[in-house]
Amino acid sequence: MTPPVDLLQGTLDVLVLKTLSWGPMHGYAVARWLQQVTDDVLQIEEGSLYPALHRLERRGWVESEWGVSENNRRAKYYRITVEGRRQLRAESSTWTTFSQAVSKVLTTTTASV
Amino acid sequence: MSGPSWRRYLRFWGSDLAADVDDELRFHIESRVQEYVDMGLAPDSARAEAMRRFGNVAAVRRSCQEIDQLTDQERRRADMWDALRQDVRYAARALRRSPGFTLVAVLTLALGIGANTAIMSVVNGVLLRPLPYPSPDRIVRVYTAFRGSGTPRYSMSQPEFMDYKSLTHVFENAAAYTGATLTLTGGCASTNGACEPERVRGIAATRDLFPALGVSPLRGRNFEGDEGRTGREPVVIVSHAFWQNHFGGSPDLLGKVLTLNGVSRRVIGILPPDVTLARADAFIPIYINPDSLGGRATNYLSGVARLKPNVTVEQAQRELDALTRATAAKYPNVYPASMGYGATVISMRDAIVGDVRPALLILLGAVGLVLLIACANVANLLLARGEARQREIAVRLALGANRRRVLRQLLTESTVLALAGGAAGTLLAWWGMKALLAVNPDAIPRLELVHIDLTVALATLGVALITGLLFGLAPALRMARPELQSSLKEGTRGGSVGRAQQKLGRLLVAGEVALAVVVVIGAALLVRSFWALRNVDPGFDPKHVLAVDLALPPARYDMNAATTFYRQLIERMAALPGVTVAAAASDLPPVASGSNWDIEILGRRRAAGEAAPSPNVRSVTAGYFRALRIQAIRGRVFNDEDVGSSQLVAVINETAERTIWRGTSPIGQQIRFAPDEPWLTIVGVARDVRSMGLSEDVTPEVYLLHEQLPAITKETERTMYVIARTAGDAASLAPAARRAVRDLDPLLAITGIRTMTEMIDLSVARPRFTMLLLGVFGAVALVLAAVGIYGIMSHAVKRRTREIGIRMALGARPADVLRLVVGQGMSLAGAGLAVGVLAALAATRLMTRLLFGISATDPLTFAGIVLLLGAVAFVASWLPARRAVLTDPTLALRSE
Repeated sequence: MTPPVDLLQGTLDVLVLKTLSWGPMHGYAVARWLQQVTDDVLQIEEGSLYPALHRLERRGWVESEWGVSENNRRAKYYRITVEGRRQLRAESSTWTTFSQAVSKVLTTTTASV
Repeated sequence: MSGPSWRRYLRFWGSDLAADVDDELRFHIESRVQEYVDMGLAPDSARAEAMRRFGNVAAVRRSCQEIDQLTDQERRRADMWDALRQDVRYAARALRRSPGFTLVAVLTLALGIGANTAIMSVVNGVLLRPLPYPSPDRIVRVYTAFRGSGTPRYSMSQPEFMDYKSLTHVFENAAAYTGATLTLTGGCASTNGACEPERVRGIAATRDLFPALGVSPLRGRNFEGDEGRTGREPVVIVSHAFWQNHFGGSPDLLGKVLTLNGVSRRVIGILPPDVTLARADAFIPIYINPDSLGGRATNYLSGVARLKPNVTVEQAQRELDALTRATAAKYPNVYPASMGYGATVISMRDAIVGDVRPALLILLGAVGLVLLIACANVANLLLARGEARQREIAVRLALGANRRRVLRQLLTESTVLALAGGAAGTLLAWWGMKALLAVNPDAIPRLELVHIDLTVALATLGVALITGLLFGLAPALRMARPELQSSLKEGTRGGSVGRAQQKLGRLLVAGEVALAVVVVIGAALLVRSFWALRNVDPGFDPKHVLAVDLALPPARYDMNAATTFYRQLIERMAALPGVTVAAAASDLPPVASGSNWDIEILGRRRAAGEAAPSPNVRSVTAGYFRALRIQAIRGRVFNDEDVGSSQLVAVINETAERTIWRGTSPIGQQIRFAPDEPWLTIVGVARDVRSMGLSEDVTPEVYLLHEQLPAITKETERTMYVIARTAGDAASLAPAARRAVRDLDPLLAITGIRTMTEMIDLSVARPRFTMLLLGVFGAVALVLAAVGIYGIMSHAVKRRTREIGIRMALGARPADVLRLVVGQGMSLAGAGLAVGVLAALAATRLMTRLLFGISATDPLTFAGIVLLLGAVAFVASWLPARRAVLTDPTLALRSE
């Protein structure tokens, strides 16, 4: 198993938005989904998800509503907004450009161009 | 789920942010625990593992709560603005739908608020704005007082000033000054330095004047050392305005030499712009030599001082009291006990505006009442309108709008009205103040400083908002509480709600009639008082008389030259076409300043402690009494033979005869002013003249013959009014009079040239100012009250059209119906009048100081105004009643 990677706050926001883009879910579901998709590589301290969710809500990128969970318990569901999807698109393209640039640097074999 | 379940009910009143975060986090942890338990972990270790994976619960909870709180605040604020915007838009739409109502309401409010803004501006500028000096509260005026003769503020003599100045633990600086009439004849900006001779307002002051005010010259320096002493180089400090007007602000004025009253004075300083002391333009130094002080009884100095920090005016007064008591004891001959010698110290601001304070406060009270009347009127309009909207509101309430929201909506409407009224009122005030300043800038000191500034604008905004609440709250409360059922079922008319509203409406109208009574009676009292003032017999005939104010510079006119100049000028004036008689006088009614000289009567001994009689003394030429048509009561006035005669003569007035000679005949008696001066023989008693002002009591007066002055005092009077009586229009004589002066002395400036009728008008400028304003407010109050009565009566009649129709159909005569309606209106007005008269009895007492020749509870005024308002109320309720009677009964019956 690879050691856990430290996550920047902004990255966590994008991950949460991406997760919610699959459909409304409560915080625990978000945590589970991230855990599964990343095969536990990103060892997120689960608690840090919540300030991220609330922050996103404050910015209007997600909205929340109380509902009932699979096992009949009261849970807070988050849904991505139109604004949030726009933000996600912008952030993902930035991320792609960024990561491509970084991997280019890391994979270059010649010392000069 | 654990936790108190009742907490969830709190959400009905609003979300509980903290509880929500707790619930959310708890859900997460419980879910994780469940998962681990399902995987086969023991509950204890499952919980421990879940907590470990979660991290710091407390920190997460805190940061979530913080974020939520901010979100919540923002959302609330947005909601509020949204609702407000919505309310305002709705209110604007509702008001636009009834333009007539809106126009009347806004106009009414504009009148009320505008009057308040205007008067608040005046009060702010005149009474409240501090003087333009550092620590202005410490600047005081100091006076000598002779309380025995009711003179608390008199000028000081040199020794008295030095006494007061010696209180160095009280005064930081003390200065004395006196007005100086200066004529500028040289040093002007023209090419050769020549000047058109011009009178300059001057002040001769000791060198402490500017330090006492806390002012340093903008350029140059203050007076120094013993400047002003004979032999020192003559210098002058000029005002900023003088610098700008005469030299265009040119920097090389400093060091230049100006010729003032024939003396060449070097300009050593220029004052900053905001120093407008007595509006003087030139300040020259006087030096008071402590080793050779003038006489104790030669009072001519005004005192200005700066108190030490932490010394109050009261403390200074106590110190001066002690000092002057000691002085009086030391010089019993100068200050006999009956004179009541003392000193008075008052703050500079009070000295400047103290006199106008009562008038301004009365006006402020009056506009407050006018505003209340306006509020009552608009409240009534809103009530009447509310009746029409009863259904609309009932429907809104039925459809689920909550009461608070409807109330807020209605209050928004009245606030929008009030703000519109405030805006219109500010315009009105701005325009009104231009008119105010045009009426007479000299009537009120510092009036030129008055304008609508931020303070006033804010006050107006506050007044408008309070006004909105005042007139909006009662109708809104009334309307937001309709008995839902009845309102929907009933038509728009009648019903218990309608009756309750009508009761409120009647109360408002009766109240505004009462307020109007107070304002109108106040105004009427001032009008009558002014009338009385203008009808005072001044004791002389001011018509057809022109007065020219002159001051001969001593440097160019010695005693003989001055006497000759005035004799020649009088001859030339008398020769002008139309002029019947010309004369000169050192002081003129009704603006005489008065200088009092102690007299000694030959053969009369004073009792111990009795003050010498101290009549007001002026010098006049022989034609004076004929020019002003002042008759001799006994003996004779001066004639031309007296001029060359070696017998020195005097004429006294009736008051002097009555108070000084007390029944014995003064004719032939002899008086003198000082032991080293010759005796004068009294040749006659002249009629009393209101010298000091139309409302002032006449004081004892002694007239001296101007030509004999050198023989009496070894001096002469150089500052004189030359007067001419003409058969025609006095004002048209002015150009010829100017020419006559210029022909005799081209370098002499004329201080003023006015008809005596104008001088009398000017002397009553302030009472006229107060009367005009209060008169306007009274008229506004009257109109508003009339509109109020008319409004409520026509509304009442409209509601009762059907009832009136039935009565008429059943045979009631029009007169019966008229009596019914008018009777109702009059009973309303009657209640208001009764309350108003009682209130006015209390309120007009405050005006006593402003009234002349009329009592504050003058029965005639009270009765007249009650009749007037009663008549207005009658007409205002008769008009709608007549309309009702004229309506066709069949139409009236179908009107529902």
